[in-house]
Amino acid sequence: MVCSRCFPLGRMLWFCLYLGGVAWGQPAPEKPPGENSFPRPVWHPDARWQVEKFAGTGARGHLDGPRLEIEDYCNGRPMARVFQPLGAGRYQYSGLDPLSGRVHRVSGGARGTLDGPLSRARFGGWDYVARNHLARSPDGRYLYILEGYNRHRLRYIDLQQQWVGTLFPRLTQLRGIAVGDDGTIYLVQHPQQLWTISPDHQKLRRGPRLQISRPANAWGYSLAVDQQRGRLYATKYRTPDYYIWYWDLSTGQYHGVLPTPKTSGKDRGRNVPGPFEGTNLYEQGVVLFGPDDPDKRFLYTPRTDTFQLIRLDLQRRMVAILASEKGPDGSRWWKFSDEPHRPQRVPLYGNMHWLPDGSFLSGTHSPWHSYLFRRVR
Amino acid sequence: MHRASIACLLLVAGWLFCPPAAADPVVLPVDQSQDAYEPAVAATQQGFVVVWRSGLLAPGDLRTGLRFQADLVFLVLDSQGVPSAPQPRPLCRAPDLQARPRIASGPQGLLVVWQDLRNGRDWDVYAARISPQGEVLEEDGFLVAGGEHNQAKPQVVWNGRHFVVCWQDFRSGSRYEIYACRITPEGKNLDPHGVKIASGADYHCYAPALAPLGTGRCFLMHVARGGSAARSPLAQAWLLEGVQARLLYRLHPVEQRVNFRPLLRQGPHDQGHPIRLAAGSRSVLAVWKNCAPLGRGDGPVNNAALFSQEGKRLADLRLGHRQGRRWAGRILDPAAVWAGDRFVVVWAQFIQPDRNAPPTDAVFLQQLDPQGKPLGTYRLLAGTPEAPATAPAVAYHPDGTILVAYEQHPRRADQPIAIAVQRWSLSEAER
Repeated sequence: MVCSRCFPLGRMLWFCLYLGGVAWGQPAPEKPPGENSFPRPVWHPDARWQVEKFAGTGARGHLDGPRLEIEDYCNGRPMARVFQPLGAGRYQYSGLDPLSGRVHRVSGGARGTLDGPLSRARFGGWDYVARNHLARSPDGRYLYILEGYNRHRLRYIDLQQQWVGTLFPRLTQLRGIAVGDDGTIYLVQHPQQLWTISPDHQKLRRGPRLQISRPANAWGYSLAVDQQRGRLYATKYRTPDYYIWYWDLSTGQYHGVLPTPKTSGKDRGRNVPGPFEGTNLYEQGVVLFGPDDPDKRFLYTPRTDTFQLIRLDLQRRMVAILASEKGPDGSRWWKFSDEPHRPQRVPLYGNMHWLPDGSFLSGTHSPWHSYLFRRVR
Repeated sequence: MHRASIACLLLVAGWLFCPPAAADPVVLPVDQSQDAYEPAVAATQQGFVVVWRSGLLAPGDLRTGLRFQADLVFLVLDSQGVPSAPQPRPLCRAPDLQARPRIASGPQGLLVVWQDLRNGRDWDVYAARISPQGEVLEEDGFLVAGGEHNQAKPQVVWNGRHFVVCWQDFRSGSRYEIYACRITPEGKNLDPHGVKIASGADYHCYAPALAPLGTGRCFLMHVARGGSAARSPLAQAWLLEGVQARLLYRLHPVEQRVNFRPLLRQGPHDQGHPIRLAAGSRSVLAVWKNCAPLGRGDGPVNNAALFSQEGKRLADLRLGHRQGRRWAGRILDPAAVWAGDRFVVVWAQFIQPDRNAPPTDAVFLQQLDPQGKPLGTYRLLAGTPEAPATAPAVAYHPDGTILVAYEQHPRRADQPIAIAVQRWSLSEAER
């Protein structure tokens, strides 16, 4: 979950860490998106985006350097924010330097569990089966990682000190993570235990047992937290009753949000926008809140494999999807629309990463480029 | 009798499943307490030279950007593998990043090539000579290939007349192409703009590998990617006479009239690289990484192949340990050398002693006869869950010794990543 409020301003916002190598593509944009200068919030009906290649060449491999000329092994997973090579390989974290537009490996190249200096520490790695989950602290200092090949422990990268550590090493089998606006870390432990860690990493608190009929598999949960209302939104692979739900943070009670056609008894067809009831989505995705939304009204859920970005209006209980239209200059613009229409393929796969001005970066799939959805209105 | 049988069985099992203990490794001193990465090694008349990248990030808050503190350093080792100096010597301390050093030995010394970001924008290829006495003849190196966009992943060999350097070049602005040049023993670049070797209409040609065939000839192989699967080859091999290229081999789904899938299992291709080559007396061994992400984690099944010097694919091989379903036969960072009458291949591969423990890297060695048949079993050279080893390089000295250099990752975080070397005579390695 990333929002402009949560991030420090300026160029540090553009620093991204991801696993393996990056890919952001096409001629370099005139300048990276900076602070939000648009008079209207990203969720306003007039908000528009244009797509440009942000990184990657389409060649798979390992080559650092200028972002439009790198090679990477990005098979699908979250891009810009994190990069997840599937299968196997040498597991490294890389970073984008916003000033030079270069992407570089910043950690060592052996697998393991050693904590220590970032360039020397070892990471367990991940693959198709054992997936990691990532989250950031609000000030961007910490990147939290639930490591699939490390008994799903919680590790962190301290970007300020270039240090890697493990938080509460006896806490294992963590399958979902979200960080609140105040820096509190929310963790779901298999099969159904909630834990919280204070922003200073000093206090671990056991939360309520979470009400759930069938725990997630090793892929775990994608989580987003609304601390004001005390809700932990979640999704996971294959949910028979609700695509998205929330747990009450004080009681652990389960509340369905976005029902599957089986639950609602209605079906508008795959990815067709409209009311919550009747929505039909692919059975895998993530959840995150976006910028300009302190009330946590809009929940975004990119869906894997169907190349769609879905936005849930939790107040109006309406689903909007990203759709294209002809812009004033004749180029293709993108907007969120909840009007019924035939869904189009969006160059965004499985995940996204919000930037402070309301632009966002896509998850990546063939042909191995990452795309920038640059906010234009 | 019964006890004797059991003892025999144990001995046989021990021989089969417990590779012989590796020679004692020598951990080389690090440069200014900095971590050491990416070793390359070459044999000289007196012994060996190991070059590596020293350091990576400069201290500082990464949220404000990336700053680097990485140099190239080297050490001369005698024929016993003993360092000739207590500290590594600098090869290049230019600003920003220098990475991926490769080294080749010629009759009048060595040539080291690497990719260099001293311009702050993109990679260029630089080189420096090291004299037989271990002196750097061009401090911080000289430019081999520069200009707009990336020139990266250089490889170098001595072809019997010149050093031949090849690299992947993005000068087109849209795709990678393979370029090469010749450098004389005096350090003169005979092809200052580079000579284009391989280029695809709508696909990348990249990740080149070189092997010397002697008398001015080289064998070059690279992978390809992009465009439609039907139009893009997966890999190509070329004969370089000087820098004049002739296509020898193409792994191509359409031309070979076979399904795409079997070729993906075969490799090399864009998920099956980097490639390393070793030229034997009549054949060329290609070995490539096959521990690669592809779909749900299936890399190419084969990770090596034997080619005739005319480019005919003679045999497909699969190297690597077979322990554990997930990592069996899947190798990383291979390197190979021709050792007079056999090929010696080293690679990194994951080991996972406990299914609940994370996998970690170890370095292995395998000898192959000129027909590609394994000579004995593979050896585990280095790497434990507490102290992984990876990124190996290998060189052969005509006196019959092999030197393997690799990244030795530390047991404790207060110790740097170092380069370690192991040396054998071939007769030892045979045992």
